Amino acid sequence: MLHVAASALSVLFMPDNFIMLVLGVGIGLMIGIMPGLGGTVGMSILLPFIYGRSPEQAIALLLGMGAVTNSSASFTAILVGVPGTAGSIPTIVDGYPMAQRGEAGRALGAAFFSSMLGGIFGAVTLVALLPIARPIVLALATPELFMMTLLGLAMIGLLVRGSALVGTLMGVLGLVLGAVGGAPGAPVYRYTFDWLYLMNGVPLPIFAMGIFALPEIVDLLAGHRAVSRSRALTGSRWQGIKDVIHNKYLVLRCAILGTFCTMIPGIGGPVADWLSYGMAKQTVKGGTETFGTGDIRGVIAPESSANASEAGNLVPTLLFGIPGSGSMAIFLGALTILGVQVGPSMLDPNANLNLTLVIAWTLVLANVLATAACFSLSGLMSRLSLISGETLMPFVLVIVFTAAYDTTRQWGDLILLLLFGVIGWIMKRMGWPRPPLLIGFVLANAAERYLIVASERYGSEWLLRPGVLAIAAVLVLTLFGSIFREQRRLRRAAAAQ
Amino acid sequence: MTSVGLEGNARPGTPGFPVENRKLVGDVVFVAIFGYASYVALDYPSLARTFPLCIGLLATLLSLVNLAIDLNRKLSGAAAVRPPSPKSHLEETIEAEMEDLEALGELEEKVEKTTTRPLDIARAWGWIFGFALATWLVGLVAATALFILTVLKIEARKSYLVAVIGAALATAGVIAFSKFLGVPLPEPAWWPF
Repeated sequence: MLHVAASALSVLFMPDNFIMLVLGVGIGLMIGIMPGLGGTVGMSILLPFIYGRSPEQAIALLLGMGAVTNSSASFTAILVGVPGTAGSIPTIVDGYPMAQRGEAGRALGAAFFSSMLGGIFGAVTLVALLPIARPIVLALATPELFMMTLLGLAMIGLLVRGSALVGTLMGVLGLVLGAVGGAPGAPVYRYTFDWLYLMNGVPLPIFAMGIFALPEIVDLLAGHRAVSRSRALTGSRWQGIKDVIHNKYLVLRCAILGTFCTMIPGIGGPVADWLSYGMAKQTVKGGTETFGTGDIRGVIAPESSANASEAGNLVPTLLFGIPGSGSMAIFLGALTILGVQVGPSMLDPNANLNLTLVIAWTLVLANVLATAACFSLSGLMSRLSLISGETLMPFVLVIVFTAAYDTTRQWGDLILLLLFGVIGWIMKRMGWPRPPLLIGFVLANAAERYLIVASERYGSEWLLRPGVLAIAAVLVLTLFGSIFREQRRLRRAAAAQ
Repeated sequence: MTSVGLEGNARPGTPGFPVENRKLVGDVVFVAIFGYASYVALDYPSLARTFPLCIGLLATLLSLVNLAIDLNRKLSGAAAVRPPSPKSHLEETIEAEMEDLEALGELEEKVEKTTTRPLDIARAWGWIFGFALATWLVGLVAATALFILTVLKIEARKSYLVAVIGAALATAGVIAFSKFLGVPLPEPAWWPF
């Protein structure tokens, strides 16, 4: 194991891979600063650029970007009280009052350092879990994996704010959209409307950019937002590091919470960050009185959990092929594009174990690089947050168009991008959840493959396998349980009236 | 304001379009899409039909249940008297912290900042579709220069110097991307050569 880990590290330090990592980290830092552009949007924009690259380069670029958006999001969260990503909202609660008190540097120092420690902890946990996870993953056959896919979608649907059923339906809609194009194992093209372009299916990069990136660009262009007012970088960043060392057990507790919570598909980083914040508030000495007024521990807690959650999200993605969040769905799609089969092979020393360790090392190095960059480029990074949406977004749009056309190099790329952009924007305005749609889309191919293999190999008997029945029972109970709870609440409301 | 996490994109209510009607429209769209997907799948050979038909029928059933629930809710008027959902400890914590933030006056300011007018949204879409049209007419390189120049000048109200520098940098970036990676860029679609 150790020599495989050393080999994976040496692969990452090869010039081509390391450049990609640095590029990814740099882009991630900039994306984190821009409110509205989170890790999912960043990954969707970078996805077309992985074509023709090795899996190691693509991993370095995408994960390098995704792993650090939370780090740089602390700039706007602490300096101006505007969250760069959803995960940085808890940081505002204590970080911003600290900045107002003239302790911005201290808050930033604590945020960067605790983010780095959390990220490294998450990566180590990911590797440590491999031997434990291997027998569990190997015990699952295609029927159980198909049911797990449906259960994953239902759980993600349940955890979306609003109607659980709508969230689940969005996931299933993603499955249907993923079925567009050539059918596996049969010479038939499905749902193409006689459009030649669709015969190869809907390209994931186009879908992801349309659903996520274009709606954010429109809202930032239309919002006429100056991201922030200028705020001087005051206070000592070294004091922040000392604070983190002083609160090392808090860092550990929150990193554990962030890593293990996000292993459950659907529990995204932001939820884990709030949980960590709430846990810290309840458990640290005097927390209930001082949290919210500029307590440094209120910055350390969510930041320790934020980057750790990236590794937690990777566990179901790599081992079960079930992405826990929108960005992981894109990452899974990227691995599929590059021909990497996730699941048991990610634990096999003769197959993809090396790639799994490259992923873990990427998380570690990305966090270290991001922290170094955040410390050394604090002034410059703070100024980036002053750029208004209407100045920045035209450049992002050019990148999106260039990236979109690079997908299949047909006009259909741009037409479909605009179409999905409009759909994504309508979904955003209507409050319909978009991540389940993307996750369903990414899972479609694997789900269909599992279903066909299960049907061909076991006939209809696969429906009676104990594992399938158990997962089906959980699926039905969770889905209909949420409906009944909703109905009961309504009846009580009517009775109270 | 925030990004696109699982819980990050719910937007309560669209002015002038009641929430319940909005839900019903969405429900009908779901039923139509899944019904159509199932109906079309019937014509495919068995191997190609299994997955979309299974998923389509299951989703049609679920979307009909969803429609029935929302219709019942609208007809009974329960939604109008619907109390807040029982809150978990996490939700209570989040709400408490958001209240603190609101007390600082920051949240209201942000909400005000992010409120967009329909005209602004139409303009934003106009720029995007305009860029697409320009790409089709003159190719991506020329369209990039034109687009950046006009948006920086008109929307961002930058000086001509800044707009020209921005356009030049973006165009150079696109050309460099194409040359170094050997990636073809969209040429004018009507160009006969």
